[in-house]
Amino acid sequence: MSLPNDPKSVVNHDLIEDCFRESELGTEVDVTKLHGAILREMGEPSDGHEPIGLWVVGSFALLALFCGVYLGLYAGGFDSTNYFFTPGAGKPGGAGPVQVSPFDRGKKLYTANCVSCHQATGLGQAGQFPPLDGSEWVIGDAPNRLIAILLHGLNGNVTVKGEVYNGAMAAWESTFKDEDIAAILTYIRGAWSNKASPVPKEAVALMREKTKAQKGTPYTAAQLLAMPPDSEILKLGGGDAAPAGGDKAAAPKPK
Amino acid sequence: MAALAEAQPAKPSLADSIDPSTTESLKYKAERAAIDRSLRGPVLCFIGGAIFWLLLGSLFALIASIKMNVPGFLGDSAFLTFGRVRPAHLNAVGYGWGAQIAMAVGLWLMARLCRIEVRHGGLLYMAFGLFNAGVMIGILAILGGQGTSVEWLEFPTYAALVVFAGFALVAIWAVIMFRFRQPGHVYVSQWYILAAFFWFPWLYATANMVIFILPVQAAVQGPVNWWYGHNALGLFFTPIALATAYYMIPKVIGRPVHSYYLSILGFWSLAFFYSWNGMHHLIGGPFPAWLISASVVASIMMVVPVITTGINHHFTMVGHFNALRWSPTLRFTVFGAMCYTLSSLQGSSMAIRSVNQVTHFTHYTIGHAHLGLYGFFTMIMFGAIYYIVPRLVEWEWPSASLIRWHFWLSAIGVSAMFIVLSIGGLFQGFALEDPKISFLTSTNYANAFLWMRSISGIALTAAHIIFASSFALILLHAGVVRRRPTLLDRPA
Repeated sequence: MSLPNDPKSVVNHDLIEDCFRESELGTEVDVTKLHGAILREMGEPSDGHEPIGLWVVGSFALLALFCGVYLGLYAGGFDSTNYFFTPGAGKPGGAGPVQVSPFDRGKKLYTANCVSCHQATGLGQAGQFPPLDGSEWVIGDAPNRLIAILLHGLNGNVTVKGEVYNGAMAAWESTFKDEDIAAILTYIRGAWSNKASPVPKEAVALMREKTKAQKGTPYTAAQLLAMPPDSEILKLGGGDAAPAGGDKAAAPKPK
Repeated sequence: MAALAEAQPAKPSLADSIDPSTTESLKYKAERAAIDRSLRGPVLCFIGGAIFWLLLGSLFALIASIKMNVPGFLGDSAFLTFGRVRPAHLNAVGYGWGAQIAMAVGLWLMARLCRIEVRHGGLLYMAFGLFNAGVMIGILAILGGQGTSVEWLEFPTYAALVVFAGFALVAIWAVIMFRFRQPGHVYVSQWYILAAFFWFPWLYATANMVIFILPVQAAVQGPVNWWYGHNALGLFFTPIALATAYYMIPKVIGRPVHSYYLSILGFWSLAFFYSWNGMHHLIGGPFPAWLISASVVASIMMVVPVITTGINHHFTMVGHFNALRWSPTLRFTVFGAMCYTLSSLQGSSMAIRSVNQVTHFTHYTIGHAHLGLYGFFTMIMFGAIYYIVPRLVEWEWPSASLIRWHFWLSAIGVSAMFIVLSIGGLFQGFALEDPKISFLTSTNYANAFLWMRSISGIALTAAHIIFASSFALILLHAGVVRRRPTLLDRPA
């Protein structure tokens, strides 16, 4: 018995011969040679060629239209700096990224880092933590001292508004960027009844550079008082005293 | 040739006499038998390995699920804490079961449709060894506290490399089979499998590369993570399961697929839109609006491949729904195909920003994930196993009632899990949105639903144990010699 031999086929011809021989002999095909599951199996699947319904195409077109409108409204003009979904955002005059003023930024940082000692009122705690509101150290025309305290800390006795405090002010030099320190100082110099001028971040940067040697060692009050008002810092705009109408407070004088 | 035709065991039915595709010469049947034999060892190994991880993954899932209600449960051993058991579950079922069964079924379908015996099948055993060793190392590393905590990529790099090597070997073999295919029409299932075997190694390698090996900037790792996490589902598990459904449905009912044109539209729209998905998981995150909006739109456009495939499957089935009564394969496959439509449409809706705001970060998302990976992918894989294994071991399934129990426990279990997690998730989501309700209260809203989830998880675990026993019995050639298939009911 010869079988149709397709040269391209990868058929195991022995298998067919076996099955064929058995069927010739009138016995049932041996399931161990060609299992029933194979024998009863339907042909490999094929494709029908029904056309795609018009309603399908139409619905998909409507969906694509909706998506196009959505992208137009909510993709923020495909501007990589626009993080807002709101329609119109990112266009000229739109919402755009929010700019926080140094004062507001400072308030946020102050609330997160300073209120536990100096209190939200800026009044500190009697006998323990000195007040900032009305403090000659804060609103005086020597912001170089204020910047120095925030950068490297302050230890030992210090006289504020006539009261002597003995505590330890932390150093923030490694925690905050210049911009953050400037924001905090701007806030405490302008909050409550204080009306001193803002501190620019350039002043903090300059001060950080000038006080490099102090890194790791907190100041003492005497050391700070020996520090004269710094003309370079004043020129940057940090210490030209209070704006019009403000009560000018003198910086603490060395005794 | 007349003698050959006589060799067919059954008398031709009316359908056989009308439709030439149902009557084939013995030659093709023998060819298939030869292909099945060439793949018997590797594919059975992969199926066995997959079932092992399915059981272990179910155990991890149960432990994690019970911890949701009883936080102290097994909390004394560090390796059984929630933060480790939960990723162990995800990776055991995602890679150990999901990717492995996808490889088994993908290889078999590819060989069948290319009409080619596998060459040097021994290398596939090596792939099996590598892949399972990789998953084992990865799971142990996660339990040992070395997981990376990047979702879907928890395996540390040394395990991921081994997993990748095993997978790549299988993928190369599938591509080589395609190269050596018999001339003729390339069927839709082949497109999906070929694409999936290209996509997954690319996704897995890229994600591991740019998150762990040469890390991109921190914020950019978020989009990469979700690009991978979502596309592993959409460009790997989904195409493999769709390929299987496209094969099994026409195969069992003996009828061509409704429309070739719909198949093409479904395939290319999946390929085009899915790759944009994933960023909608980052709504509210620090990313440019266009990135997230593009993903939202792509998710909505996923309606196109889903509806297209749904129509194609439905109209292929029309008139043959009674076959669901008796065919195990068809019953699992059609259940899975229905879950595909449901979970994908749900997924599209969940990408919309206002819906996402409520449902994301709640159990609603977990419900969706189980509907997709279990209701759709896993159920279709079960169906395929019920079809493939008798052909490989040349033995019929020993017990129809085991299959029936498996089906109902799985189907009811996953439906219940989906429903309770969705409802619990919505309660939780609306509470989270309400500033007057504390976070703790919002999590308490889901408590009762989480108990029900654990119960549905027990049903699923029972289904898996039954399924594994069934698989062990067929491997052992247990039961009587059957000359007819093991059906769930007497065919009409």
